[in-house]
Amino acid sequence: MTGRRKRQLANGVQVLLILIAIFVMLVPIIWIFMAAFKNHIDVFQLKLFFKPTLKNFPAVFESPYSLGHKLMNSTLVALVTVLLAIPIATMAAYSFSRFRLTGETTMLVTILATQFVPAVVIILPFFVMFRDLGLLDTRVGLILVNLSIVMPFAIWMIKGFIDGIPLDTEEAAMVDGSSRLQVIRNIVLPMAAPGLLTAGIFCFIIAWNEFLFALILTNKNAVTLPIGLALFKAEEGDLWNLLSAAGIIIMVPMFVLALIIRRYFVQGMTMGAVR
Amino acid sequence: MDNPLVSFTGVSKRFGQVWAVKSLDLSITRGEFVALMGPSGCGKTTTLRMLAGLEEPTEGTISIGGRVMNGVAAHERDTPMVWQSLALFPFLNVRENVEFGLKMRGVAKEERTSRAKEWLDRLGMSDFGDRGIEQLSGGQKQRVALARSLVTEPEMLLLDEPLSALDAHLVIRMQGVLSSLQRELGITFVYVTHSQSEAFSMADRVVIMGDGEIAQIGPPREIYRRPATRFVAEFVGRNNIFEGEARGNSLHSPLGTLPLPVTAFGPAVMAVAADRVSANRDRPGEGPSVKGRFLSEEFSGTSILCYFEGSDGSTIKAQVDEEALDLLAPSHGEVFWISWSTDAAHLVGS
Repeated sequence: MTGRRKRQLANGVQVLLILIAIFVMLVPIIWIFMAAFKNHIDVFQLKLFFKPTLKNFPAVFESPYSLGHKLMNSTLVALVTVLLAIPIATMAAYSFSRFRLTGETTMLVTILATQFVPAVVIILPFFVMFRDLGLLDTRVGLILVNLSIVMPFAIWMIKGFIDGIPLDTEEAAMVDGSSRLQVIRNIVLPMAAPGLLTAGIFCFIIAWNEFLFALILTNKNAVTLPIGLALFKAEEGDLWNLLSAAGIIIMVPMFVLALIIRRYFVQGMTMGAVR
Repeated sequence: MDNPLVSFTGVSKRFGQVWAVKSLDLSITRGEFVALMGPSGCGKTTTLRMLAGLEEPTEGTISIGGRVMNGVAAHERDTPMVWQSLALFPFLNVRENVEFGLKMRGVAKEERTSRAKEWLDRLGMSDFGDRGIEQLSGGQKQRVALARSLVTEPEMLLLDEPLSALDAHLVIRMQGVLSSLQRELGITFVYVTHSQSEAFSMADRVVIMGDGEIAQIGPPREIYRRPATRFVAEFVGRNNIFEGEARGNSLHSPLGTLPLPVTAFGPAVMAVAADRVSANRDRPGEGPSVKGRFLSEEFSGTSILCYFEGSDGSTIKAQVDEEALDLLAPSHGEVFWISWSTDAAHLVGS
């Protein structure tokens, strides 16, 4: 076999393996997409051709499921979490990156260590505190919980991006008459923008998909979309068609975000990694 | 020095346990082109950064225009700087980069635009105002960095190895640009470099630094011809160093007894520049000479540096022109006589 044939074969095998991997990953999503357009009775039939229906989508917004309210909760909680987390994390990350702080390493490791604590371990203290503070079943409570989840991650991620900005560039702005705050606003933020956007999207996804805390700390007013999925039960069992329609509603914003920020996302990821 | 623009008085800088700069005293006059030169880690960049306000001296005072600058932040000084990395803002176009300093000083938009244009014109970059930084060549970026620093019309410009990232042919061209700019504007240039050719070709005075201290200050020719210490003689390069015991008018070295240009006693170091020595197959009739075995030659454009090995294993350098080398036609291991006139030798401090 010639070298060229060997390379072609190797490429072929590579493409085949990638296609298999993609297929395995996509199967559940394809199943959900199909189920969302099926009637309840068709759901368990593995037919590729069926009579599609759109009635599942309006149904999930109607009583008793009222997905609209949960969609609003999820959106507000995830958005406010990101809007608070990114500025605070950026300031913390800038300090860690640019100043020599006492106990810097200890602080950074402690922040990282909070990520290793299993959520179930700290859920009870959260429940007791929130009960005493009157934050149970509130969006504010969920935002606080989500902040505690995403902040360590955001600080570490943004620090990586800021570390990648050459110090010379900041100093050049300083000798050209910029104060530290002006340097942050005029130089660091524009240069770290792809990184901040990436960190923001990650935080949004984490907050959007958060399940455990929302399950324990909410029961009516502040229920979010992932918890809302558990409502699709009836006497005849799980309502997979409605559940799938709701699943798509949860996933669509993620797909749209991924499409919009794809370019920045890659730039942001490599910026943090390659220094 | 009357009314200097910059004064360093007893300035030291410590990083942890390391003293980067030790008790530095230096005055720079208005309109002077001063080059700080030395090997890596000699403290030249730290000295420049202290002048820019990017580092605070551990001890001593730095004054600019008679005002003590200790504790004054970089953005409150008027000391723009050109970096080795150029440090242009990649998210701004060429014109916005040049306008940046003016914007920070609150200059109105119309004036900003016209002054930026004026400087881009002056540096031959008028057609590139709307270009992104990444679309420029190294030399073009260099000009933008210069325009950005000079647009505020400062009294002094600091340059930290600004040409070291450029190709050799661009370095020579940019040296011309820098020299003529400095003369035309009449502003002070403080230029950090490890390149002897850059420092010697442009500066009015060269400050040689070693191990955080000033080893010698003087005009380029003086530094080259009369190095004050062995360190300077070796750093400047192309110097032959003869070490031994001075006894009156002669130096007793492992290579033999060599006449000294001055009377001295005790351990002494004598330097003879490579372009002041000649190599011959026969021993010259008069003047000092030592024997050396030919090792190799190094072609550097206009001249050739020949390396010989002395009888004590030391390296002796002789700078010759191409014609002389053809006549000499040395082959490896051949023995030559390297000679000079007594007044070409210079006694340096150890």
